[in-house]
Amino acid sequence: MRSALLRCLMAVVLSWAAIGTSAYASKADAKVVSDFLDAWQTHDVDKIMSFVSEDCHYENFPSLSGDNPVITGRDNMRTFLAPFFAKEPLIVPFKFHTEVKLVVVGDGAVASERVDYFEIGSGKFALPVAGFFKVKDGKIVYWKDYFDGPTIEPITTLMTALAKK
Amino acid sequence: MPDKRQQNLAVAKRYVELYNIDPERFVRECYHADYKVGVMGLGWYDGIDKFVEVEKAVWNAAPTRRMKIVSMHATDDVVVVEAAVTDSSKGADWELPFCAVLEIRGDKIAVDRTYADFKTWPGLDTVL
Repeated sequence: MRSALLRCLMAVVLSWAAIGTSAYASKADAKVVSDFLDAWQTHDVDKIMSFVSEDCHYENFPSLSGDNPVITGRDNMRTFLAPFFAKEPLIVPFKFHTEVKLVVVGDGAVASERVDYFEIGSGKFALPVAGFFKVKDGKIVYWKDYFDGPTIEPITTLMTALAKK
Repeated sequence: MPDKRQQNLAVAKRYVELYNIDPERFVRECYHADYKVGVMGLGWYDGIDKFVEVEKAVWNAAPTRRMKIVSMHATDDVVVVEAAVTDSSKGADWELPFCAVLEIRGDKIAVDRTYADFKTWPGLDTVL
């Protein structure tokens, strides 16, 4: 995983060096995003949230949190994301890890592809996700994820069912 | 910007333009014969004629669906397109945000990985 991430990061750095225009995100921005995604492997919410700004704008398509997919602010993001990494007490025990497939330095943003893996009881699920990030002063200020709703439905359905037991 | 990236951006712009006007040209002019399309989370498909059939069915089911670009990010091999599908039949404000990661070979798309909430993609329910 780490070697794959390093290869991605190296490709990003080389790509950025070839571009060299101020309109593009910087290699430092790409490193912030890569480090942020890498931090998810630590299951350390404090470390994960240290990469995002206080006023970070987070959009999760399709919404996992009701009609409004926009979450604003680090504290609200932490409330939303913390259950993914909580150890005890957990209403529904599950394992989670993410695998980064691609990081692209783009026009004012960093784009990425990853697969989020969930293990709930005997069920194993994979959710492919595309994410867009904007970085300012070393912190992620904007994060938008795209994924398929029906793909995540079995995950949320199973977790809800187990929580009711 | 290096020429390769400009060329790749041009491929992505044509992908959007043709999606909005002609499903058959969209497939035949934008994708290699050995393309692969990933409807991420649902599966993969290939085969040009099958692709044309799918896009025509989607067009017929949702003739007012259109694609609009939010942003595009090009490298020497890949263009990441952040976009939205609109459909005036669903209302002026309705739109489905999505992301397409297009691997470009020459002047066409070799691999297309699209991320979206596909259950709401206009017309797609007629073919899935």
